[in-house]
Amino acid sequence: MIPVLPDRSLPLSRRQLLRRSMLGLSGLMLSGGLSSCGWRLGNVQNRGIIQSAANEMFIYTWAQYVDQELLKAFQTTSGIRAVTELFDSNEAMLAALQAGKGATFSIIYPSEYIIPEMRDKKLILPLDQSRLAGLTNLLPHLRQSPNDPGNRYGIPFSWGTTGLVYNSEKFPEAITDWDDLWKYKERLKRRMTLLNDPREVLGAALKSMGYSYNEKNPDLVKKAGEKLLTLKPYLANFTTDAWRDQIVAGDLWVAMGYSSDAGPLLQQNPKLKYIVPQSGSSRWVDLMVIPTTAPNVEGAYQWINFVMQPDVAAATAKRLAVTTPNLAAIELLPADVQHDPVAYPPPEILDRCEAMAFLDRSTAEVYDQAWLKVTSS
Amino acid sequence: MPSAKSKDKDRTPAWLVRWLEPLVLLFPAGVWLVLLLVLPTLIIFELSFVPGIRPGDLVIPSGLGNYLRIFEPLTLLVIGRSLLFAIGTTVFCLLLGFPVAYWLGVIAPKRWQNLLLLAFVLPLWTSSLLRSYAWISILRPTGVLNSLLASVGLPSLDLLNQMPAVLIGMTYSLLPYMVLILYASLEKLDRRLLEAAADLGATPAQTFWWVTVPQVLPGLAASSLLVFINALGDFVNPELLGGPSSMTAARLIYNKFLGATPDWGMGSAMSTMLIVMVTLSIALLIKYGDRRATDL
Amino acid sequence: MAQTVPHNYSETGLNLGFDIELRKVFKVFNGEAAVRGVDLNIRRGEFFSILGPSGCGKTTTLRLIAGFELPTAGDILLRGQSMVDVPPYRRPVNTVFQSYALFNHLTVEENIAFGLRLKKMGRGDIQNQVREALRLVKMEEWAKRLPAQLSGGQQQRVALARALVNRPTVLLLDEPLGALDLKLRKAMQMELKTLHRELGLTFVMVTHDQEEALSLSDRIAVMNRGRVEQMGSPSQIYDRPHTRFVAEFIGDTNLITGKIEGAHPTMLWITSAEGRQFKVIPVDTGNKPLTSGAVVISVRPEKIHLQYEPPADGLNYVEGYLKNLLYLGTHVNCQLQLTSGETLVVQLPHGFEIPPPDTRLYAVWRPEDSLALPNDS
Repeated sequence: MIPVLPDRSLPLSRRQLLRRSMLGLSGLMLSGGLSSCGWRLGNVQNRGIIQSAANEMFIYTWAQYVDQELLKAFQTTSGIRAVTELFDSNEAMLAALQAGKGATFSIIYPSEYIIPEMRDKKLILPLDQSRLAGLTNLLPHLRQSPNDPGNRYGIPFSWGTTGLVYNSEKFPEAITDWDDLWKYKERLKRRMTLLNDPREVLGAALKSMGYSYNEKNPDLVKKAGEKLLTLKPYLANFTTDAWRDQIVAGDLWVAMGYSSDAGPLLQQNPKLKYIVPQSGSSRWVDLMVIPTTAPNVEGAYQWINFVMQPDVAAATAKRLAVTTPNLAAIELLPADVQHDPVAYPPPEILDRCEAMAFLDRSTAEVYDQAWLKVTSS
Repeated sequence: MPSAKSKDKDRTPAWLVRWLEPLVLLFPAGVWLVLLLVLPTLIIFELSFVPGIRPGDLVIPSGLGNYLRIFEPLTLLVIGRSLLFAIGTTVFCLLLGFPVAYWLGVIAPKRWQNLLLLAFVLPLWTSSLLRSYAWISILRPTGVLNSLLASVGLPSLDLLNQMPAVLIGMTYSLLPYMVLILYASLEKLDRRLLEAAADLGATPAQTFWWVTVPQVLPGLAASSLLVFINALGDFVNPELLGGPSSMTAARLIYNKFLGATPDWGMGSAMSTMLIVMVTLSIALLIKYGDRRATDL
Repeated sequence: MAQTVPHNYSETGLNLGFDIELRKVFKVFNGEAAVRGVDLNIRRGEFFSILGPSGCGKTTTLRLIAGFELPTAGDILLRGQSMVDVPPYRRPVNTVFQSYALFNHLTVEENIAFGLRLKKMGRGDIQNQVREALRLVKMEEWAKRLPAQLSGGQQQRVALARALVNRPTVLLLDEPLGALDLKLRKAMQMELKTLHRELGLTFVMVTHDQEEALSLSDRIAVMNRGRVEQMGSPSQIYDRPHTRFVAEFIGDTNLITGKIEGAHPTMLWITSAEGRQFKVIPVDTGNKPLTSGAVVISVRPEKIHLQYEPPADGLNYVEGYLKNLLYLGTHVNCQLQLTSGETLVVQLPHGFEIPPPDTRLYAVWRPEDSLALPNDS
């Protein structure tokens, strides 16, 4: 897939909207259909391991996370030529993997909340901790994630918070919480956007009502959906990456976004501010995992260890504007970056944030239904 | 007659040729079609009978639940919105495309036609996503359009993130198809018929209405249908330009397959419904599209 | 549309009984003159033909009358009124097009009713007139058919009916029979003639078929290279061609080039290139009489007699050998190889006993049976 850059002046987003097409889907379903041994056409299964050259490796990742420089440096040290392919949502990645596409990749960069599902479906390998170096450098709170305690399946690469970016010039009153969106909705009419993501947006609404980002009570989730419906007429859009150039240009005044996207924007337009709402928000981690069918497991370990090297991690964090989970690397960064509250928030802010939890099927369906109501009406 | 017999043996029997010929000729395209169209469609059809299926689940068809869900008010609202967008886009494409195609096909000098046509088709070479982003920067409150309006002292327009922006984006994306097909149709228009109409007393407007339009009716129907179908399937423009209330059937199907709310069963049921609708309209077009084709 | 022009004729009050007058009409296409100074007067009720080879400007002339082309210079009058500023749909003429130009999306009936409907005529009237027109061209039983379901001859009849039903002042016919096979063409010629007589309308027909023009027309204009070479009745055109072109184009003729040696109002003495003397009685062409210079002598094959001995004094003759015989059904032509090297075509009289090939023969004609024409090519 080819990433499309809407505005060259902005760095890539973690969730850059890719050029998607349903054609890819039909091809993907086909490969599953053909390889299924049962009589059902639609049963999709992983294919067997694909043999590939030991000096070659495929990486499935977000648009922001790997660049040519990193690939080149890796080839110099390991002799392995790594090639990336991009995805723009965990769900698309999972669907592709289910259809057997994972067989080509040796490294994948999923988000934390989807790890349990990948683990339960045996799509990823438990990591051999003895082959990993520098785990102790990881930030303590990232070592004990409820979704992957002890980093058994994934090694964090990037992390951050979800919050609100606002233009302090257009909107001088400080925005501090989710409820400010409702409070100032008349003035912010068609000047604000929320993420295009059911978990994040419903979670934010739940937080604003004093509940958990991962609330399992269907009635409360429904209520959160209803609350969002009262804000909907005042929204400009639900979008995960199209808000960025519009808020820099001053067309949007408030946007819900990831800290990793907010950081570079704040540098472009000093009038912009990023806050993690008072009532709480989510923190997210994107990790590196090795799929069960990885053709080059050895290379995958080499890649993880390479990326984890403090100097490499620090350089990558600077170049790609990601927040590194590597303490040793953070110490190598300039002081102003180390103390940037957007990229490296202090503990009191992190304490307000919940990690997004994996939801069981019936709860997930409640979220889906609520989201459908919010977006479809 | 032994000699005649051996001769017959060397030759492939006529009945075999009759069967082999189409088989050989159609085989490559046929394989392509079966692998990439028929099979996926069958898979979608099968999945449409599985309630709440997600990637990796076992496929156990069990009833029409997914189809019944299509008739829930919310889904109907989404489908209605899709139809509105698609019909609106088709009408705008017709209104904008017909004069252009007419000018290109009937009036423009021959040597300019190819160049002008190329200019018109050029936007098709860019990614649809890129085009949508371009429209964002044109339509946004402080964008190109409003700067232009302000410079001539006109009030600004708030179009982005609303239905007008979707219609603008989709019309822009699909106008080249409309122009191309209409051009092909108008270019074949028999000018002598226009003269014949004038000769019989028809003013240019009457000629246009009573001769030109009926003559290019098949082209009009084909291009409108193509635009309509493409507009129905477009999910990029509604998502990027349409604002919070722009959920369409295509977007919903996308979300059901690759989005954050996976439900392949529901997505397949909606897909099947769309496929049936589109197939029916194409079948109708083929059957009743061209009255002139009727022969003795 | 067959609006009937009021009978107030020309502004000068002169009524010469002309339906159509072309005055010094020029038509230039991209710097190339297709019509160069054509003057035509077409009388009311006559069957007028414009005859010429392809590219002579005859169709352009017809299109100028119909209004599909505007003259570059000159004037076109219909019943004394200038038509130059009148668009085709307001001219009281109707056209039968070369390829019929029937509306293929309409039935026979609807095609014929097309003009009447535009005139906002009542439904009943339209029905009656369409029925009448169908009867006129003997197409009643085909009323409900589409043009694609008709044969060429039938389409021709519909085209005729579609034009005639509007009762035009003048009916224009552009190679109306060109697409028909010989037998059908002959039959349709008869019908055209009958229609013309019954309706009493002015017919203007464009054709390249001299036989068709000669047999149908009251008068003929022969065009060549954008000019009218000669206008007159069929017999005038055939027997008294004014130019070498007309002589050659209409019927068969033998041309002998020569020079005028002596001229008298009643006789011209001409010497051919080989020095043979000929006598020709001059014909009044309305132009300045020929008295000197290069000329061609035109002798029609049927005016020549063959004999075995040289003729008595006072007759023109050449000598040659019998070569090919051409059987033409009603008569036989033969080619005579002249001693000068040229060939002469002679129509053998009925009952002439055909001599063996290479017989030496004398071709003889009277001075009044040949014409001297300026040799302008």
